[in-house]
Amino acid sequence: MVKKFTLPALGAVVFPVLSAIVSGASFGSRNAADLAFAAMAMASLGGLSALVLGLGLRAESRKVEICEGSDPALEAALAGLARLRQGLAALALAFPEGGSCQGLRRALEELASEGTISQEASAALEPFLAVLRSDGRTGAAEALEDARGVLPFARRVVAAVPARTEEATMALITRFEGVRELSARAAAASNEALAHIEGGDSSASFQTRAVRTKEAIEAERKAVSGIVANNRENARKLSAMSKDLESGIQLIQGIEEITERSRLIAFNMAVEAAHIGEKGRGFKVIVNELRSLNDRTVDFSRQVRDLLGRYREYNAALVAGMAEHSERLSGEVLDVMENAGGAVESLIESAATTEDLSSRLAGLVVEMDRDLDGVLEALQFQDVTRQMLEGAMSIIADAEERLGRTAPLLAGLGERDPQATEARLEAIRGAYVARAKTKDEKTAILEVGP
Amino acid sequence: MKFLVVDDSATMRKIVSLALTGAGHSYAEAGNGREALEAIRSGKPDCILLDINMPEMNGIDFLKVRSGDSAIKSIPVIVLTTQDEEALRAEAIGLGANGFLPKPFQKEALLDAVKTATKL
Repeated sequence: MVKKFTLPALGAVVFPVLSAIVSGASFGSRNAADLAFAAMAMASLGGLSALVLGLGLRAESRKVEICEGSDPALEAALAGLARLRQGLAALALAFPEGGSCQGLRRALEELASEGTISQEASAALEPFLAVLRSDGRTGAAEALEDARGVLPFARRVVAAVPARTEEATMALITRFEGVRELSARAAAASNEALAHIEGGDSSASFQTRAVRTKEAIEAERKAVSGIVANNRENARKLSAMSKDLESGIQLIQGIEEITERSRLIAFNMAVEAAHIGEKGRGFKVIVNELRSLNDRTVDFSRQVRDLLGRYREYNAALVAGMAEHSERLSGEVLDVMENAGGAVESLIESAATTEDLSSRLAGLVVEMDRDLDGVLEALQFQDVTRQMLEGAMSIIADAEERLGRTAPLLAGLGERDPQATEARLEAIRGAYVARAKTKDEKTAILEVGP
Repeated sequence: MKFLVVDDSATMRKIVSLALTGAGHSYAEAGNGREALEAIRSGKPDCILLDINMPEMNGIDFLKVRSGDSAIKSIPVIVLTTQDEEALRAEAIGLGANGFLPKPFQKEALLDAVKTATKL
């Protein structure tokens, strides 16, 4: 028995077929290889959407019933319909004769040749659609569980960064204070020596003071060298932290992929809900929840990614600022110190270079203070970035809380196997640990409890 | 002059205090608005350097309390914040802040703001 093909019938058949193809390719159902190939064939349909198909069929019907003359738009729509039929025929060929998707193949063949579908073919399609419904539910539940499992990894990695930057910054400031103190001591010793020289003192006590001045400058030079080395080490650590953040961004992208899967599932389920009519009403509630969850998750992911992206920029500015000032300290300032040390050496034997030494030391103190202040200014980024990361963590916490509310939704998606869920999350964790670029990132992910 | 540095970041408190001691000033520290109120009770500072985003009591709430307390209303306050937003600046100034300096700032800019706020 053959029924006339109408637009609602088209919706009831073509959309499930499309969704079955996408769904099968996505979730690795037992017909995954067939379906993935079919999806490729479907892609070859080009710009033909289901809407065009519907319009084309209506236009075809109108032409038969109403239009006798030639209408360019109608002709274009009919040409589109013809192309779709060719596509459907090609798609049907994607399922081998006698294979597991016979129902689908027959429905596609009938659609391509007749523009109609028999009840018999529709019935043959039903087991296939039943698998899809089951896969859709499982996929939705897994997507929700995965999203809930991944977020704590992201939070842990992001949370680990501010504490480490704070530690590095405080260590640098402590060294900075030490250098400033030594600098003041060297300047005072130099001034004292200068005063004695200006007073014509060439006694043994002056010689002693001059030696002390040289020692003070040498101690200061070592301290500055230390701060330069420390600065470089901090820059290296900050670069490593940037890699951690990069991983955080990748984790967020992982969530976006899950969301995309979930969006696809919601689409499939909406189609199924429409297909099974009245019985699908309860199903629709779940679908709507899934869609709303998707929208919120996408929004959240975007916010976190933006924040982390901006953090990365600030971090780069911090590293550049520290590097610039470190180079200046290690270059010009250490040179001046070297010379000053040499000048004091001469001073011990002769007072001729007194004025030169005095001006060099004065210049040195000013130069060094300016550069160290520059380092301190750059270090304020630590606070800026800390607050940004706190913002990111609060958004992640919000998303975790929202996802936590999906527990009833999961119950609606059928019985879950906690061991299977745990095994899947363990596999996800293992993949993130394997991909981790730093030891700290690995530790952060591993610290997240089951 | 004696300052009260109010910031939840230990790094920022250290950086600000280094700038102040370098200019010959002394300082006390507080980690949030509530701690700041306690610190003021045990010793009134000449000027308060106030962060905005802090736990427990943030900078805006501190300014609100200050505006209703005659004992601390006269102490100049300079806001130091990572939020360089016009609306926040207007709100802080509207609540009686005497200066507004976005982070990161240069030491000279901080000392200039102090000079202006305290009319040194």
